[in-house]
Amino acid sequence: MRLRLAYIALVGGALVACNNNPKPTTQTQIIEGNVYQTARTGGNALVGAQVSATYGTATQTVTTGANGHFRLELKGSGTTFDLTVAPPAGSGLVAVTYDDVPLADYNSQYGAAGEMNIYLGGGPQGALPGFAAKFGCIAGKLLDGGAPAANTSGGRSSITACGATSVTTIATDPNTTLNTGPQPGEDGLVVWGGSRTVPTAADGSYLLPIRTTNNGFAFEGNIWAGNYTGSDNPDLAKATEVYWSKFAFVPQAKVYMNPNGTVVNQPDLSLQAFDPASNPNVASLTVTHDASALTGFDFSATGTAFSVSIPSFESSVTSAELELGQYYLTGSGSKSMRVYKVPAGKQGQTLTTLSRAIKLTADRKAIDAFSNATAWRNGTNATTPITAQFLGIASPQSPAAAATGVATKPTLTWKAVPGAVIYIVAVYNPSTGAAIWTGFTPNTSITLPLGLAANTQYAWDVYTDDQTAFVDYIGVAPEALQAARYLDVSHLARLGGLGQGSKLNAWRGALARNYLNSLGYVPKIYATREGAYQNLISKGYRESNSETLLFTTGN
Amino acid sequence: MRKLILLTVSAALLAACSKSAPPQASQPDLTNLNGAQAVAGEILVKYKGGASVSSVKALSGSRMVQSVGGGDWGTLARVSVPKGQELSYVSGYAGQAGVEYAEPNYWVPNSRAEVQNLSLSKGGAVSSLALPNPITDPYFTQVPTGDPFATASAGGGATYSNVPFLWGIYRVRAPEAWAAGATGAGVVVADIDDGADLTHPDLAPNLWTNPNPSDPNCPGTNGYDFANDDADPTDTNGHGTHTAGTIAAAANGQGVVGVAPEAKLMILKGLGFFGGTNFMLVRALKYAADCGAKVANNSWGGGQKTKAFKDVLEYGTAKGTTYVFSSGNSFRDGNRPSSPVVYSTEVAGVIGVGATSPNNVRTGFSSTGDYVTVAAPGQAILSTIPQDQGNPNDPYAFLQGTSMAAPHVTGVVALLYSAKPGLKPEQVRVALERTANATLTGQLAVPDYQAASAGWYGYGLVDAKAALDYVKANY
Repeated sequence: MRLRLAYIALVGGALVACNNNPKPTTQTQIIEGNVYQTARTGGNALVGAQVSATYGTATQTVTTGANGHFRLELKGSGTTFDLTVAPPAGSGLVAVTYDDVPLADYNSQYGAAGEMNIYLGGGPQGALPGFAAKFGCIAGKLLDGGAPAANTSGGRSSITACGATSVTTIATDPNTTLNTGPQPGEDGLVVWGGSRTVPTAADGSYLLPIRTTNNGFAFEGNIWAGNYTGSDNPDLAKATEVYWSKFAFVPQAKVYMNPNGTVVNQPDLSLQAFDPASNPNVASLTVTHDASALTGFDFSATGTAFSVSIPSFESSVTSAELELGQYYLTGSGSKSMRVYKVPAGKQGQTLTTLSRAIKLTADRKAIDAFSNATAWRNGTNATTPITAQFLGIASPQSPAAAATGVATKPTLTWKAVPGAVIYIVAVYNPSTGAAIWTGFTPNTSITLPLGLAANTQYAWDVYTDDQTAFVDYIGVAPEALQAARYLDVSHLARLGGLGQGSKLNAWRGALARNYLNSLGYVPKIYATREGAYQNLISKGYRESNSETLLFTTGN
Repeated sequence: MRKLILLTVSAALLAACSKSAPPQASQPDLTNLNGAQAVAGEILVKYKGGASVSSVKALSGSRMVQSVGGGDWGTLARVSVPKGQELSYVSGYAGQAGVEYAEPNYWVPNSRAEVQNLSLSKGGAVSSLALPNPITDPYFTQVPTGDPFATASAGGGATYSNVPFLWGIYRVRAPEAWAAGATGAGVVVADIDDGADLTHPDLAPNLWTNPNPSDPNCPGTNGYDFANDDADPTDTNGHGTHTAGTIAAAANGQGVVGVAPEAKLMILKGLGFFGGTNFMLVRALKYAADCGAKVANNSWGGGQKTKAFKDVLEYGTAKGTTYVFSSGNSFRDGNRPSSPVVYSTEVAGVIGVGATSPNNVRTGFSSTGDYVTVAAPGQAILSTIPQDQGNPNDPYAFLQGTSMAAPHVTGVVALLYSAKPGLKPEQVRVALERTANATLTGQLAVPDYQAASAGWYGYGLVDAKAALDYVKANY
């Protein structure tokens, strides 16, 4: 809104000086679309949502009908419009604002195509019943130089028989770590499909259970096994390099399901060194960090910031990414990462390197801000070094940290980030970490269109990336973008338990788990469907999240 | 509103050039433009959707002969120009506001007709001599250890034992259609996905070869990569290699065999490693229709309903291409509708496909609704994967999803076209609906949109042999 107001004021001034500019053309602009609950909660059309739009000086508010549809007719002028959707009171859903949406993006046949579909976050997870459970197991033995490779790190559940009771127990117990990927420091692990992880027994044997309630008969995935115990310091909290010390890899392993459990025996797995110096199946990939665009990040020994690169391996369409290591830097410098050697010239296997620059709060108890840079490699560019050039942070300016007496419809302002196109601003309930409003804008300020409660504390932050335009965000659930920002701090070995106190990050984590449970994946922002992401595998992707500031409203 | 404006544009063009158009000759006069054959004295002009009247002017000496499209998609006009001046008029129109592009009206030889001439007997029946007899592809003949697909059907009392890996190929009765002469020979099938492993030994023999890759409307030798805008649609994920194998893997004594083992695969990469954009996918959908595909497989979809998809599907089906879409995998996540498959209720040539398991019961994730036209095998589907993803010398894997069900139907549609090349998309739909097996699925209603389990199977489990008999008898 601010940019357009400034433009109108300038035109007005020109009129006085010259008196020969044409008046802005007033036209009837139709804005229509549909409001839904987010897919995680079922994706149903939402009746009774209030949709308000501004086009030039014209404003209109309508309520969505039984099919979630809305249609506005605004007699105004200009090339953009604003639109806010407020959920029905008591629905538990969250409002969203789209500020200065270009009409070109609304009309684009590759964007909204004249139909603005909006997905409101919030609400419980939706689920429908499946079929009677069936089971299958993969069995085998993990050996290291002919001797059993036993799990000694502990902490994971296992089963000794592929029976309905034992498989159901391990597969449905949320406290087991069956579906959690390997953690640094664990040994004697067998991973199927990139995430389902079991420990080996003392004799190196393993029994990996798969359970389905989808009327499934057969599944397939890769097997990665070994010890995630390599490091440059035995104290992982002081290590700058964490990696698999030994591994075994089977590209595809089949498993069959029946009501009583079917066991497919795999040949023995033999560990090999995960070391490019001694194993031709392992390669080096260099990553360099450049945090020069980040202000307020103190990477010194006494500071609160650090950076890390995490390479992962996606071997096949049948299996998810598997983490290969963690390499810690101080916002600059380089590391040589150990990665699986993908076939030269081939494109079927992918190495993804996610580099993060993270700033903790002064007490180191919570994440304060972060910037990510993701790069992809396959057999066509596997040896090309990576430079993680971190995107700057959209530092919040007003309301200032701990401001009081703030208006209930405050104007939020922040610093521009070079290369950013759209900013996503959110206001949160600081006691739960949950977002209560989200705004999308190309500007560096936005005024909340809906009133906050008086004399209440709120938190807010600003997110942006280096390539996403409005046309890409239309039709994308704001909640999915929040889940995509979740950072599992406990997984970062060097933090040694620090940084886990952010309620906002914890809420994002709950959302991410909810997505995983209901839809089978954790959203990634670059996984949306629009044009900015063409050639992403060669361009890479950068994003950043500002500090979280608190403010308290006045009367 | 934009449609009204477009009509006005067309009217203005016609008014400015009011001479009546001669009928287009069945064999037009051809000339060589930009290294390719094109119609002499004609160009194509694509008007953007919503172009304003004042922004588009007919150039002197030219007149619009015919137009297709409209609405948001825009209008593609065939414009008569003086012979020998085609390229200068292309430049003139391309520079106008409101014009998306202008180009020669390139001539695309119908390779399908050539192949059909080789494969068709004088009586019109497709020869199956090219198929090995017996077919020895190991996954077609071998049964997995323990016979894990042995089961009973949901309805009809059928029981299955000694079931080969490729149970789905048998379940849709493809081998019986092959025996009746329909193998997919002469049919180009577009697979709009994330590409395919072009060197896979089970796919390479059946790749479509573009007769004119220099045609700017139809670039690429075996298809096109709309994700990266280049001519190499190599798979960077594996999904498209898998769907391609189910449609038309070769009967060559190795690995798997597809439903239509003599069809040719046009590989259109509309999805990148991260998914596809509307831009990529709309281009791919249009390419399929423009470049000779009779049927296009679409094992993809998203939550966002977009008019652009409907526009291009109407365009493509009007040109004679049948589009097959997977219904989506979200039944247990709220069963939210997926787009573009929802357009199967509005566009006759769009077929929605749900997934079934070896017991002929809907697979748990398979989305349901009135957009499910028919069902097909979609769990425990063994097919091709990129060679660098597979076990040594065994680039095949099981996958599940309605993404795996749609290619079975696409293959069946290819079989129908190989028997009856002149079928219209709506006739294909009628044949699939009238012959789908609702007994094996145990349906209480056909279609099942008003039944207790609404939209689980639509008209039932697709049946290649019955559909083949239907089109032979009725079209």
